[in-house]
Amino acid sequence: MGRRLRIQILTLVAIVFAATALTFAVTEILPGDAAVAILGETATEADIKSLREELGLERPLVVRYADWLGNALTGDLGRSYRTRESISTMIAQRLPVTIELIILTQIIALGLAVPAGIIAAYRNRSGIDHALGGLSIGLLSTPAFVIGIGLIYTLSVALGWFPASGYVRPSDGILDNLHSMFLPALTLALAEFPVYMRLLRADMIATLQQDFILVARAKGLGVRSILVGHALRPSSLSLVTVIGINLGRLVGGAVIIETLFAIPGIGQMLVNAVYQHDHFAIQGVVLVVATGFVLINLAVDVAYALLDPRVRHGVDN
Amino acid sequence: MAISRRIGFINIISGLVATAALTLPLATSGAQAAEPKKGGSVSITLESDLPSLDPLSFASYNDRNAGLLMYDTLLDIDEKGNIIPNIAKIDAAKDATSFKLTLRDGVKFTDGTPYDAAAVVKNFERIRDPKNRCRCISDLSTIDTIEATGPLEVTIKMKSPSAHFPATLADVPGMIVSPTAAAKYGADFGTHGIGAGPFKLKEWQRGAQVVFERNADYWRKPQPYLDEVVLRPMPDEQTRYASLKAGNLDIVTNAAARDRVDAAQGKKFQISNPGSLATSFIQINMKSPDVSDPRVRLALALALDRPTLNKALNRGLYKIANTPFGTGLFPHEAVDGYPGYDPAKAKKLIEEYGKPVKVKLSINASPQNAINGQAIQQMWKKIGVETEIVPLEQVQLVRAAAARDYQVMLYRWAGGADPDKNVHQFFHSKGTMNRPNYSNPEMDKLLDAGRATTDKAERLKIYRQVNNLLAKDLPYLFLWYFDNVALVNPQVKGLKPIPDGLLRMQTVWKDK
Repeated sequence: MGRRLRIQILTLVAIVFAATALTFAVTEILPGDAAVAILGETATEADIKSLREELGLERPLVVRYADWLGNALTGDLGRSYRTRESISTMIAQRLPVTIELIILTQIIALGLAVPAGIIAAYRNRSGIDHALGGLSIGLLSTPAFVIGIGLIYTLSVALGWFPASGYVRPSDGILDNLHSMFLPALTLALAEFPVYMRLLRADMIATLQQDFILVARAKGLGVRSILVGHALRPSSLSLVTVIGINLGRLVGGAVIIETLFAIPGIGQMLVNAVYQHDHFAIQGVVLVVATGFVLINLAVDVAYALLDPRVRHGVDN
Repeated sequence: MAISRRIGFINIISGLVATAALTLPLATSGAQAAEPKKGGSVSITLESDLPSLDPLSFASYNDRNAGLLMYDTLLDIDEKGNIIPNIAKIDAAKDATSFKLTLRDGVKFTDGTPYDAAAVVKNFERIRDPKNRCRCISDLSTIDTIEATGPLEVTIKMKSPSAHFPATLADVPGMIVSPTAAAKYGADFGTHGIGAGPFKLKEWQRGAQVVFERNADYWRKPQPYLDEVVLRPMPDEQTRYASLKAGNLDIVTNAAARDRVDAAQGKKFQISNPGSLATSFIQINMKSPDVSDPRVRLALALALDRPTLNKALNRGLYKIANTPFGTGLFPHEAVDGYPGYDPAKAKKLIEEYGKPVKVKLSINASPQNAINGQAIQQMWKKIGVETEIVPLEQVQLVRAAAARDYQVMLYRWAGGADPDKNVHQFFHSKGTMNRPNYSNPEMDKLLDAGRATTDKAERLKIYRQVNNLLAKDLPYLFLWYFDNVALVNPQVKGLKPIPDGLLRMQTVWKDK
């Protein structure tokens, strides 16, 4: 376990290093530059050049990356070119919003997928199984922003149940906060739902064919008790893995959904930063997301090993 | 309605309905004699969050709207685009080489600092200091000296005649910040922003909303009527309109043509169309191959079927432009013949030119502009001109324009409140933004003359000649005037349609 952890941590460092270096290079290739974004239309070439010098943009790429990395290691992520805000502060303000969005998404997605998966497995190849399968394919093939706009027009414009956009901080009322976060979370959840549901269904069908289920049935246990009490746990191992991996993927979804619903998370921050050529802001978000992604994968690995003794022994022997 | 929705030509009808409806709400709001009610909150869209509350960095429509809330302006413009007194009044020398500003007595910034001549002079020093990189610095390039010649009197001397100067003071350079606060906060002033406007900053939740509260000491009593104005960054266009429909929002600024048509059909919202200062156009780099020939430029102009283009792209909502002056500027459409649609003549001109013509059309890479570019490409193809579309990201497009690294370019200028601002810097051979590489001594003379008198009738004569010369030399191929249309919740009253499209929230109240 110790050696495995060390390797994992080294991998983490390597991935974060590679991700930030790559982003730095890609930002460089991006057309246009920060000086023009700051100075605007009326700027002359001389203005642009002098500001580029002031921002240090005239130095070679490698020097700038080394400089940024050195500062980042000491905890200084720099300041936004555009707003002069500290990047660490910006991320600290926005990260909790995105984390809340992702947690709510997982709760809603699982809340829908677990019962649906169980029913689909139990009623394998029945009408309801086929209906859920069709729904899954429909949701899987619809982009999240289309689902989002559909939900806005039905649940908020037509029915008025939820606000169409905007964000209320938890400190201004936890219920209002949940009310404002529900639609974006539901949008993301509907994209995750099919994956979770199909995965659970497949594993559950396999479990239901095992002997111990037959024994349980023979003992005369009720359907609910068999499904939830006996079959669910052994069927949910791959689901747990995917939930973990999806946490990282959801950050990508958050970029689109936060923009659509005007939610001030790091996804929206990243989009703005790219538009504004705000290099340090882009770097900061990538650093946080990459680190988070790797840490989650590490946690999933560890949790998986703890859940299933076979994995643990298999590695250490 | 259910039947007519199925009919194919509904688009044309809805276009007509929309145009007719545009004028209606304005007429009714003018007739409203109802007494303004106090209180309430109005929320307005921003396309993205504000970078700063410091006028030094103001440029976009969003920034300037926020600036009006916090700082107000020295001078203002009225519904017809005339410069009117506000916190100050201005007297100009007849030859426009010096100006005298007289400030209102008793005005104070929200931190208690008096809004006096010393404060105004300090502000101009701040703006004109190159280290501060004010985006507005080019607007003030003709200033020679600024002095406080009395406690409430500021005298400005110009290096050269500057009839356009008063209009400048109705925009960003006229947004005066508290000099005490500017000194106190230094580089951080942009997160605080202390002014003498109708509202003051209450809370800024970055990325979510900027909340402004009523300034109870605002100089124009009993305004403002609202308790609160909330600016909400909403990057997605569809979400903005959906939020208005769902009742989460009161004003959508710069509404999309699609939403204007929908709002006109639904009749649930007020459509405020204050007109424009601005134009969309194709600018031509007159020193680049082929288009340096006047026959080619004329052919390109004659090949554009602008009414059809407007109908297809903007649902026919915009007004076709033949001058660089929007509806809010007095030389608007004062032109004697700008080339209309005549493909046969255009084809002949290209044949006369003799060589095959290939142009590179640089555009902003947005979907709307891509469609626009393709439509232009097709129209030019019909006269035998091959067009290559070069899609660029906005920042890159601006850079290409500034470096004159383009052949022809689809572009837009937001426009200024004085005619000079839409022409001098672009078409004068020494203009700081002479992107078309245009050089015509006659034009230089006219543009300088336009600055040298404050007599409106005389200036109109001059700018008519400017328009005629532009129609002949064609550094720009004009497309349409860009209206700053806002969709407004019907409870919101008292919004004045001012052609710069900015919202003067001090007169606004909410009928609950």
